[in-house]
Amino acid sequence: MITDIRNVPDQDALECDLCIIGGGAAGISLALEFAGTNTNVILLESGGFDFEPDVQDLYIGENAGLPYYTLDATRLRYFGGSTNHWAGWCRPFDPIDFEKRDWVRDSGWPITYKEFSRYLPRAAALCELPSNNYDPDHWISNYAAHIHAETDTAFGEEFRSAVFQFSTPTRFGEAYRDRLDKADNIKVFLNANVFHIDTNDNPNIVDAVNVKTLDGTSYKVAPKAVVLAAGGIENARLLLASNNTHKQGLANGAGLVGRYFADHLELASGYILSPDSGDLFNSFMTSPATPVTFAIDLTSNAQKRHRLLNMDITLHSVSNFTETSEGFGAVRRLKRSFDQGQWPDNFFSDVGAAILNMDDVFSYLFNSNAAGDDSVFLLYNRCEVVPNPDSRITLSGRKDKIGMPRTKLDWRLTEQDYLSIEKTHKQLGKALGQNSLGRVKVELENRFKSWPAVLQGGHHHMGSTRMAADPKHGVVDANCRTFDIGNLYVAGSSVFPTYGKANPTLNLLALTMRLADHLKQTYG
Amino acid sequence: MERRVFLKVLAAVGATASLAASPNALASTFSRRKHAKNEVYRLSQLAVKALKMSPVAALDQLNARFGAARIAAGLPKTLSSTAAAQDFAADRTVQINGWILSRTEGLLLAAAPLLRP
Repeated sequence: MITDIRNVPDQDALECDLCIIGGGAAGISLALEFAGTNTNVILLESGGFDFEPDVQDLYIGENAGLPYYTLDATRLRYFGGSTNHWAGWCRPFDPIDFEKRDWVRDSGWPITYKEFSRYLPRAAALCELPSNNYDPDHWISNYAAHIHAETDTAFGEEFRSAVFQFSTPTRFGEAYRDRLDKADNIKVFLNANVFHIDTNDNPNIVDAVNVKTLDGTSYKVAPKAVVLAAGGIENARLLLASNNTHKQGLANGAGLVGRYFADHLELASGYILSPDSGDLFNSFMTSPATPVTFAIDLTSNAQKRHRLLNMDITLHSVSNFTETSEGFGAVRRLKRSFDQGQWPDNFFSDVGAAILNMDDVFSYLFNSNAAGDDSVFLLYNRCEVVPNPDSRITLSGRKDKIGMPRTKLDWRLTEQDYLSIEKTHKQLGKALGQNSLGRVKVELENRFKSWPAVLQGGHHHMGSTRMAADPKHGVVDANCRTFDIGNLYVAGSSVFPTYGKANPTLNLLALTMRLADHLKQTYG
Repeated sequence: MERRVFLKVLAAVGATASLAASPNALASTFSRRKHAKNEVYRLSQLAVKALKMSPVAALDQLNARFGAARIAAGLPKTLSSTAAAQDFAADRTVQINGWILSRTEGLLLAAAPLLRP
């Protein structure tokens, strides 16, 4: 059943076995797992079925660190959550992502890749993927007319090809709305903003979840167990704001809630120049003829040999390239702001950059117009970053409409992050040269002596309630249960202790399926 | 690098790397386009005038005029790919203007402004 909580009398006690906070990919998928069971579930969703500015406003926060997306633009707050605007890129973590690596600080998971991967088929089904198969050979043989035969083997030992699958993209709110509505044991309450989680009677047990509507009406939910599935930023915010009895916030005994916030770095980094017609590299172009896209992956052996972070590279036609030059970037930012009717954030510096770099503005405009040449490809990276405790979410001094402290994000990166990107490109240049595939031009050098003025992340909010083997090093245990609070769990990418380079949705869903099985055993 | 030293290095590379690295052969790389040919010639005049110009600076000149992409695109076709591949395999690489090139290519690119078409 799906109900607007504003139609529920506020004196009603809302009791349940399991309370799920957040109606995004994780929350909806978790609730579905209990449809038709004896477990009574309440799912609390802040928004309604559509985007509403007043609700989205609750996401406004401060960026105190490196330049990052505005916090109310990098996610969506209504039923279905950020799946309402995701692009559907799916690929699983790599086995090396779960390993403790001595060159990556605080790396490793308390579960193995093998344990994790058992849940990928269920995650793939939720994303409505055509297959759970990510073996390049499978796709090469099935689409031989469109994919070069050597796509998987051409790069030598240090690089391999890898496969992205595409969700339709599944809008979880639309796709699973009917199933939740028809489930007698599940109540989905819309417009229900959780602002505090109580541990009144026992400091180690949640006994109430406090809800408020935008018009100020309050409700309490009394659950046996709570799963926080509000997103990679909001999970930490809600724990930190639940500070009536725990002054540092819930589940924050080690002071780690909000720390280790990460996003994948996604950036255009240069070009591949192919000496022939580019047939091999054309296999890496997104094409309607195939349901997948290939990426060039740094192998795990190469990561170990050169002590590098995980990274993949997709290729794009230069006629579609996003800028890598300072001048062109400035022009684009100015245009984007004016198109949106906004005064540019850095008007004078961007105008200055455009004037000082007019040569490369013209050069790139010329190249992009003249790029009928298919043998030039733009490199686009998705990069793992080092877990960094100084990159963190805290609470702002400002409050939102329901009286909850707003988010303050201090996103930080390390020197190792950009040195790894640079070194990986050198390895790619070597691999292409050695195998007579072409040459690489890297356009990182000058940009990374200091981080570029505008950094790009993947909108992948991870790490702020990290999983660990013990409470000194994380917020949740291997079952996603908080170390400090016995009946409080966290679902979503905020539990990732190491981030890999893969887009998070498929992977957080696999973990959510694992959590569902654990909850069924514990509370079923 | 002084011009005399630089030319010696270039000659050594040409001899030992089994490249068709005579000036005429290298010039043919650029003579595919009349426009490019003229540009190289003019640049070579500039370079000769300014012999203190470093190889990197010389490449910068080339790059600024018609793009290192187009130069490097031609090199793998005309030079010995074996020599370049051997350089890459042995980690003998240079990075010039962002291009990750074999050392052989780097030397030849740097020499380009000194060649007459």
